[in-house]
Amino acid sequence: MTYSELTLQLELNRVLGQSGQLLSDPLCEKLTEIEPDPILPPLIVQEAIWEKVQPDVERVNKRLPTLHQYQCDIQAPTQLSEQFSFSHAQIRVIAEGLGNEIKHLRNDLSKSEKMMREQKQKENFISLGKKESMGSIMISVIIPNYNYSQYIHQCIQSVIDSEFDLEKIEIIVVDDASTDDSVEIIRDILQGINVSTQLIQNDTNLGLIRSRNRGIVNSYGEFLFFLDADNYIGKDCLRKHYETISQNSDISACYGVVQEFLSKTNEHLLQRSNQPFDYQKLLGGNYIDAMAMFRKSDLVEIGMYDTKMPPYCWEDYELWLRLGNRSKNVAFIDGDALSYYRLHNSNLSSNISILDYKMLIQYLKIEHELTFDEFYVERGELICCPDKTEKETLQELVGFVQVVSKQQKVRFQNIESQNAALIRKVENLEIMNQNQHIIEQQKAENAKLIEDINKLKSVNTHLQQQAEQFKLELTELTASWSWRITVPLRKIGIKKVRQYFQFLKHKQRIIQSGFFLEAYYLSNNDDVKQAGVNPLKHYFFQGGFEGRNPGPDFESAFYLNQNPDVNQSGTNPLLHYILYGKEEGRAIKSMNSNT
Amino acid sequence: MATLYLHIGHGKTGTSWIQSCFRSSVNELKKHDIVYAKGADSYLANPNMISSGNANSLLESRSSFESNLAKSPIQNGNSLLFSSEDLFKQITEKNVQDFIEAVASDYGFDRIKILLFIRNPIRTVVSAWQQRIKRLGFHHISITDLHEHAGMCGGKVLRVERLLDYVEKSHSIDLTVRNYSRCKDNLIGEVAQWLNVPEEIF
Repeated sequence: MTYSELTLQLELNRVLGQSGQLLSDPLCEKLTEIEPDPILPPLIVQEAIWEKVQPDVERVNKRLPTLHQYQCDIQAPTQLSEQFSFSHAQIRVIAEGLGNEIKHLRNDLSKSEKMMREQKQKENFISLGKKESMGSIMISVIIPNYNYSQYIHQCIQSVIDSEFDLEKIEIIVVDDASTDDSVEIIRDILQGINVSTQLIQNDTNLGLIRSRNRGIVNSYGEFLFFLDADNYIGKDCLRKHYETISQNSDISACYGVVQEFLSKTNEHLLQRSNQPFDYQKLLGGNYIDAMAMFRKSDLVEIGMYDTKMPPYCWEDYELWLRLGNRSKNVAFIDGDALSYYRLHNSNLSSNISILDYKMLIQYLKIEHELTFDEFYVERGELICCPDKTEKETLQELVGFVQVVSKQQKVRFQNIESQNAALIRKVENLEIMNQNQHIIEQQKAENAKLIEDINKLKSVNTHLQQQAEQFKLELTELTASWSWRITVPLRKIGIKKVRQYFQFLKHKQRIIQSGFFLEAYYLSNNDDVKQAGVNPLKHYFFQGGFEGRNPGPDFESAFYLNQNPDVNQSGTNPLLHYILYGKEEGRAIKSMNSNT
Repeated sequence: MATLYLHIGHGKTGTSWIQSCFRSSVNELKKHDIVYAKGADSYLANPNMISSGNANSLLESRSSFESNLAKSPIQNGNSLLFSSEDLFKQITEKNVQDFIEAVASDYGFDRIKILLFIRNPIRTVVSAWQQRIKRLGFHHISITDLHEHAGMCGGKVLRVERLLDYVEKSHSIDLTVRNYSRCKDNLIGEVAQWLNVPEEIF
């Protein structure tokens, strides 16, 4: 390359990153006749390079043919002019490379603008308390809602309570065709507050992804914050996000720590979004929530939330992966929790089947080299691995079909023997010729029974075919690559893995409950003491089930005996009491206990 | 003598040009009993396009090598020619060495001939730096900082040393080393001499 070409490529890289396809490649391919410039660093730099490689070079040279040994090629550099020049041919190639790229981008842009216009035209949105000038809006808080009427007030109120100039905030609620009284409640709240607001109502249920995208399209803020209707934010949440993202135009998004809490009790559990952004780490599983702030222009540039993905969940994960994949800067706000994630029975992601997860994983794998396959840990729980594995499910189905087949067989035999008896009866009746009417009736009944038998036979054939199909799938599954690589995990036993995650998750809670006393446990269990094992672990995984007591105030054996459901569940009795039994008022000691 | 020819680069020593010469002279090479094996570069729209050469199957697996070889079968006494800079990077690995030697033995090659071009250090560093700007989007290393990146050449020198160690231990390998900086005006002449064919066929 000429020095001018190289300098232009270097400066282009500075703006665009890797962009050789726009400049160097067409120049090298189309203008092969242009001689490269003799580009050399200053003498002092050349001497420093030589000094570093000289010992190795001299050692290797002794083993090379004299004529073709390495040579010290330090040479005074030609003074390269800082007056850069290009020939007409070079300018044409550069213009073509850059011009074609701009053309493509323009086409893409006009397509997406057209789509956005069309989408906006279709929208049915109501502005409530909108300002005359939207120019002052800095942050649009986008709140999709579907049947969360019981939570939406706390959610919107948390935005209004923000330590941030409310003149610069806009609240956009996108109601996704709720069937409860959400809309009336939202309307009431929004009309009574002095903040720019929009209520957008979807005619039909479009799902979270499209609802968020509708919010984006209608927003006026330079920055967007996503807040789901069942969650809420802290007072400093918007301020800290805004301070972070606005300090540097290179930052496309930022997020702070999110605190999970139990809806019923407000009890704080784990935290999410509590580590810095790392694309490689993300490939191993998501750890960042959707509650985050985005620079709107960057979000629109990368195509907003992906409407092509399976609509179950993980839309935020897909977005983070896409940002990482495109080398966008994402900042992390370390410190206390800034927003709050509600755990309740109808969390969207808690109702996903293993097949849905598999589809999601396969979808994400098209673009990203995910480092997990069927198993993935989120919030200390194994997901993509429900109570039953696929093999267990298939085995169960095979078993079920076999049982049904057996039952059908017994039914055939019964019907056939009844039939035989009826035939005999009919024959007798015929022989006796006593009552032609009864004979006809019995014949009709007989014909019906024969029809039933045929129907049952056909059902049985179908069930047997299903059983064969399931067996085949089972064979394929056990021979599959993913099945074989997860053998070690299954050897440990899914139950044990789950138990272990349970232990990690609730260890602190057991200690804090005060029921487990390490000294008491050791003094009452010599074998544990002598074995030198961790007493809490021993109690959690073994002792509790053997009826050993964690302390004087809890009788494991009594609890297990009193509560057969606990016994069957495989949950440690004390943990069960802490999580559920206490609230349900279950007894923990026998009446005549003197422990 | 049936020979397994390996042209192994290294980087910035005219490899692409040499490979384009091989591709456009497949028939002439065949007349001299040398088969330029089918590989990743066999289906380029333009023979002058830059490619990674034809040794991909040799570096992948036995089955890949065999199925690929079936596309360009060699007759008894034919020699087989591979060219790839990746060979330079990998031939110092024991498993690759074992595989290449096993292939040579199984297919009845009497010897393995390797051609390596090296290049003087300063030019290697400057050329590698330019390559990084063109292909990898570098913009943060200026020409006056190149002394901090002498490893762009130093690593190659050490790899050459490991290759020399390997060849010394092996009895079936004949290594030819040429300094590109000295013979860049006669590259094809050097290649032709190594293959023992007239230069005019290229």
